[in-house]
Amino acid sequence: MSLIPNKARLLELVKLRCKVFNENYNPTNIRTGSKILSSKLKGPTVKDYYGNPEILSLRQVQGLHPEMKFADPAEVYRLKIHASYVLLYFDYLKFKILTFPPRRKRRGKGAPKKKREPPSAHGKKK
Amino acid sequence: MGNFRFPVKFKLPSSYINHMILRDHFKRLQFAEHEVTSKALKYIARNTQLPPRARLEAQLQLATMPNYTRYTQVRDRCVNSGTARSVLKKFRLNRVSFDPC
Amino acid sequence: MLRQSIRSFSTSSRLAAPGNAITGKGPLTKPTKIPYNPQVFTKEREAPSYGRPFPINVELNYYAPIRHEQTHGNLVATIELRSYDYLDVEFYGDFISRAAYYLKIPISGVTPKPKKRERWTVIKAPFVHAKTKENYERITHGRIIKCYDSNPEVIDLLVSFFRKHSMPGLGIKVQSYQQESLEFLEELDKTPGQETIDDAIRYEATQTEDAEVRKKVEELLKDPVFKQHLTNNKDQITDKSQPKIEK
Repeated sequence: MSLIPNKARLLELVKLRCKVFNENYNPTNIRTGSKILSSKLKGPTVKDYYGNPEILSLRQVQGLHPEMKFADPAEVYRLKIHASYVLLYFDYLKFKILTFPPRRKRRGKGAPKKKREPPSAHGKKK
Repeated sequence: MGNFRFPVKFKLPSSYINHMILRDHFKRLQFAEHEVTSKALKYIARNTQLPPRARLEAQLQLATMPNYTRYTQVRDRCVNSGTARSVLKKFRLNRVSFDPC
Repeated sequence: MLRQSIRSFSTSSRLAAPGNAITGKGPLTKPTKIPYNPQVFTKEREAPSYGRPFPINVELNYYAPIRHEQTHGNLVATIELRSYDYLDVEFYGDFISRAAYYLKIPISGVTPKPKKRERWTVIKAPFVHAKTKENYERITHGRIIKCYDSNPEVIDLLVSFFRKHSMPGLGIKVQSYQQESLEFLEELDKTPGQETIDDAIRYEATQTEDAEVRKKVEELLKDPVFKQHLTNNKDQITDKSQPKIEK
């Protein structure tokens, strides 16, 4: 008889479970606002979105000590990438010129030859 | 500092600064400062086991807190350019600033 | 590493990265006066511009790493490698498995993790023309090495070793496991001069995130503005309404 689960026994079980796992026992689902209490504080992460104001940026340090010369890692990286891109582009141009001479020129569509003589005196007259 | 336009003085962020970023940064700092208070008030207001008058009082106090202490006023902006549109949240960058190649 | 790792679909050619991981070896320094009789596999093989045979441990780098056999099969630590470049994880996994051999740690293979692909689509032009988009993707490669049957101190030694020889652009995560007896808690209680478990738990309860908010709630409820409402309706207050500090 006692083995048949009834509501009271099940509630007792839940109560025991809550005690063991350190949970809130709330069988009637009363709104206690615990959702608000248990949520994490997000202030610390929200605050530092634009960088921690307590930490000086490299530019600010440079501004404080203009006599010192600090390397800006972002700028150094940018220049390096830029240089490699430029080199790649030059390689590409060289390859292009060597393999394909200007196509339009081959088809006789290039720029006309420059005139050596000065324009003739019998030009258009108004 | 007669022309200081924010109600509280604060330190500038270390990233790119523009007037919109300043406003947003100020709200973020204020939110972080008042978070514990607003959360406590909210807890009292939402707890149905507390007397209704106390809950109402908490709600009223919440309402009287200035607007810049709320998280809803905060908007993720581009760290590099300050725009609020098309920001990739993972990188905190606008799509134009997000140019890895 | 952000800019190097993310690449456009259209640009398939990689930029020549400076300092390749595999070829990046320091210059050899000539040992002086120390007697030098290394064991070798093959006598024919000589180090170029060195005039001496390769030492056996150097020569072993040309072969697959040797493993120790597991004795009990107790998992002691898992090492997770992550990088945006598969060559980096490959190289470093090899490095760790060789280091583990010399520390006599039995390991189970350098298992690849599924690639993590992240993709972003943005409008290509800086202004309008929303129909033309550009796709970017970032692939995170991962490897897992499991260490078995060794002392936690040896694992610490391995970890400190690869902390010393860490690589740029490579993340390492180590999870170590330790087995304790069933009477661990009782033994901890008995140790003199140590805080009891209860104290530790109580201390932890004060360090939780909501402790600050709980404190503030208590403070507010003691405030005369709130106190008048609380004292007027005494019947409604129950024990549960008070925020609990002790867990």
